[in-house]
Amino acid sequence: MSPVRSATEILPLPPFGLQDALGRRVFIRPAGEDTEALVAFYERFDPADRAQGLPPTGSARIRPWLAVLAEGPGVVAWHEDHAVGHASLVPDGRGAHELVVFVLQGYRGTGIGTTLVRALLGLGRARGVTRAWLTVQRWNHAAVSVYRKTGFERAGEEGLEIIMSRSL
Amino acid sequence: MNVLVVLELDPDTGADDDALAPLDWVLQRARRASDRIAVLLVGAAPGAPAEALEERATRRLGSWPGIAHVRRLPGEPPREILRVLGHEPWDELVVSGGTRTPAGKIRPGSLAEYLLLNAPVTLTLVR
Ligand SMILES: CC(C)(COP(=O)(O)OP(=O)(O)OC[C@H]1O[C@@H](n2cnc3c(N)ncnc32)[C@H](O)[C@@H]1OP(=O)(O)O)[C@@H](O)C(=O)NCCC(=O)NCCS
Repeated sequence: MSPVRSATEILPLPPFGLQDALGRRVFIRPAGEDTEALVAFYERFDPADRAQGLPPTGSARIRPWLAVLAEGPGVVAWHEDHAVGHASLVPDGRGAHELVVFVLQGYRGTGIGTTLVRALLGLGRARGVTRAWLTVQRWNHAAVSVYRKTGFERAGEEGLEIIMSRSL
Repeated sequence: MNVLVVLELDPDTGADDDALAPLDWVLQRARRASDRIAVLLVGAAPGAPAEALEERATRRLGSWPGIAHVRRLPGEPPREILRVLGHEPWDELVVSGGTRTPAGKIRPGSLAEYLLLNAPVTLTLVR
């Protein structure tokens, strides 16, 4: 991997490979011509694991949503021929980007989510993104843990959600 | 069924179709003449946008076969809505479910969130 350097932090720049905690060889690549693989990925996503109404269900809703995500930088985690994780930075129209990340059930808790977010931050920085933010439900401990590990700080809260943000 | 619909006037967007979405949703459901629909307009200071919303809601209810009425609710919306809920046996409360972030995450509006936690009836969020 070729790192992007800043005064304080080195972020990885995809593409690169990693071995997850179960020894699987996973590749992280910038998102691009892989819409069909991402549609298949989101169709496999268990609706019970949706967070804040995402991902949408059914390809008729998944496709237009992916087009919105594709307006900003994205990264995909691949295992063999399947997309098993996806993260994206969506321009918010106010000069910052909203971050979302999803990892397939059987691949969670093995470090892929954290690595995807780091790779996305590296790619985002290389493409001129200066600030990333997100909202997360308080009880989504796995997601909050990933965001803390990747440098996000609590920027506020609204009812049942926490707002986190960081500069790149 | 007694259905209480809350329409919240957003000062930025006014009486647009989004503001009327909860009412449209109720009217599009299987129509039952026995249903009673009451519409409460909240968050609107007296003025043209409030009048426009009231007029549009009233017009939509024009062809409703059951009992329907529209009224503006002054004062602090969350507490006033709970007060109305306490007065009569409502079966369902329908409110706008708030907005979405640029990436599409649902953000319950503060009113919806308050009612979610405090309303003693079935709550339906429409977005
Ligand atoms: C959030 C998500 C992307 C994390 O991906 P992941 O690949 O599991 O992430 P990682 O393995 O890198 O890290 C997960 C962290 O959460 C922890 N964790 C996992 N499940 C947990 C749980 N139920 N409770 C508390 N912590 C948990 C792990 O221990 C790990 O932290 P650690 O490294 O400090 O031990 C994934 O769980 C997911 O897709 N969830 C559903 C969608 C979602 O909520 N997305 C976020 C909002 S858009």
